[in-house]
Amino acid sequence: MGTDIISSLPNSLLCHILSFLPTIDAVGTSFLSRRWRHLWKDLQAFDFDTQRIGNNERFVSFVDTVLSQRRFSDIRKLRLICGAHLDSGNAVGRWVRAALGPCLQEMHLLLYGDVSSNYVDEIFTCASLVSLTLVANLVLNNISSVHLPLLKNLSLGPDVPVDLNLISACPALEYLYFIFDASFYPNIHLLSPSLKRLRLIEARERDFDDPIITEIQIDAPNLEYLRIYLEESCVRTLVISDFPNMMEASIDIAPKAEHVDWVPKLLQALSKTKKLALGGFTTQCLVKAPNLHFPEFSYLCQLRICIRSFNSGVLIKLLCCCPKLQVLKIDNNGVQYFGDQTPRTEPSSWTQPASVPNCVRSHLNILEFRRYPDSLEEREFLAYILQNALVLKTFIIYTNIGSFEKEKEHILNEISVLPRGSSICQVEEFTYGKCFFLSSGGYKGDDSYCFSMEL
Amino acid sequence: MTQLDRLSVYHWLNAWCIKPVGGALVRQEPEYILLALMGSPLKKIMLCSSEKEIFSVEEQVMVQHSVIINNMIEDGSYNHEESKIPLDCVDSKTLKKVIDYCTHHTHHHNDNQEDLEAWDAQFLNVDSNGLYDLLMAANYLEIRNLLDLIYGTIKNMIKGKKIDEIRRIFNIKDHGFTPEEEEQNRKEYPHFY
Repeated sequence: MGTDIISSLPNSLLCHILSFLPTIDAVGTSFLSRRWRHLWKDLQAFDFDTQRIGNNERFVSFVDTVLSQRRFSDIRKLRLICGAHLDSGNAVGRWVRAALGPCLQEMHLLLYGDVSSNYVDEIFTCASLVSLTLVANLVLNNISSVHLPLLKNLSLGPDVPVDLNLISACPALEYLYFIFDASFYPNIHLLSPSLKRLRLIEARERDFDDPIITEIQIDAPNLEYLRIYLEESCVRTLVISDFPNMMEASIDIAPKAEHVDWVPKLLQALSKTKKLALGGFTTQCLVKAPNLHFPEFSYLCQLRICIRSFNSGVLIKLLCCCPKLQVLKIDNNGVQYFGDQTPRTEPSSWTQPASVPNCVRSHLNILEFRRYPDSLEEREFLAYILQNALVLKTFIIYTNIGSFEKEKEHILNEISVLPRGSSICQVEEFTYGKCFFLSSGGYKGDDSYCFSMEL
Repeated sequence: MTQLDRLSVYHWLNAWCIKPVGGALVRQEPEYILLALMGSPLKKIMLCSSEKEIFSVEEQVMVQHSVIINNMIEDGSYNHEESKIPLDCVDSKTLKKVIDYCTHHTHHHNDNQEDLEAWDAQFLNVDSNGLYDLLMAANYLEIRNLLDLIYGTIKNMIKGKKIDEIRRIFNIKDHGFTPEEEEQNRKEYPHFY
């Protein structure tokens, strides 16, 4: 184990490795040995973060020094996390302009504060960019022209006033992460045949009451991943294309009466997805729909559903539409009961289904129940599933964080004696709040048809 | 049934996320059982290490991972009946590890991200000589994901660490600075040490 192998690697390889490091670490390697002294100067990728340096003055001086000592004038990648106005002298503009050029492929700017400078316009017309991130509290100029023919990845927000049509027009756009304040976007229209991954996240920056979005239109037939998070705004209409290639979708919307009309339409468009996560209010909107009708989710492998007030009938109906479901995760997001107040005497609206849903009988491998409150309806539902899930391997239960030990023990005892249709099922019990779970019992990767979930 | 090339069948099956495991296909639908009856084990190729040791490995495994080997097979310079691919810059121990990596990632391609990462971490638990040999082999064979993995590991050996610690990890015994230079560095930039 004795020799210094690393220093014998060629300069280009070492410099390539340095380009993955935060620049402060890359520059630090100059103190390792003579061999490393000037290596960092060949860097063309920079990553500056005030968090590592703290003092604004020293940060500005560090970045200026590094950029002035670099060997190559072309910068391929710049990542900058700092305040928008570090000091007088427009430091950020200076650095951004040093990077802008025909070789710049990636720019990631996370600026705290308001940005008023026109270097923003220059960024949006830097034709060589492949990945761009612009996150600032407020960008005061309207971005009027966008010329990014090679752009694949774009992250914008929360207050970047840009015409979405210009963004949609980027011909190579594959990934869009759009954080927006609904007060500034009365309409959201995204038409992009190239788009594969979309995250639409609402972030309240101003304090207007009840923002209203007249229409959201998403026309992206090649979409594979969709995440919608609407915290407060009310969306009047949704126009949505079908997504035949959908792999993973996660929908969280606000509980507004208008949403009840289009949530079923959204689900229909997502019917080919392999993974689906429904937030508490999304489910609430579904439940309120007058004729609750789920599309057939023929490829769905994993379902995560948050239910604010437990409704076994809706769950069973949904399970009947997911013939291949392997993983079911239920999160009871409703009223929490602590200590002695137990809802165990509440009447249960559980009715025995006419026939066992296909997925429960032949596909369900993993069942997870979070914030299990142990009321009658939940217990009957659980008992039914456990009895009929013939290939269930893992059952994980999370009790409420406020539950006493006695309560938890009681729940675990009750559940352990429920008859199980699957002989290999193991029960795990955790207190809600632990952020890991064990998957036990011979769950072989080779048999799995599911892609790994990265939410 | 038309004469289907083994490789085409594999790629077709791949597109439907079915993995042939040890020759058998794991699926319930009857149309795929028919395919399983196509029988004989998947095509193998021979790799020859610098120590003249021969390793037999599934062609698909190496073709999926190594650009060099993929090009060799595609342009027809490799004759399945007779030849072996000589890899003079890769010793047996390293070649075995590389084959191990490629095979695992082909067969466990649909695993959880966490499981794959755990396996990768275990795989790279080698001394610096071993890491260097793997890096050289991955570079020569142009195995993109193994290269990125090794770069990531080396990067983590440097990131956020003090100079003395990095020197220890990389066995940099003689830094080559004069005592005055070294002292100057430590005084002027104490936060790096």
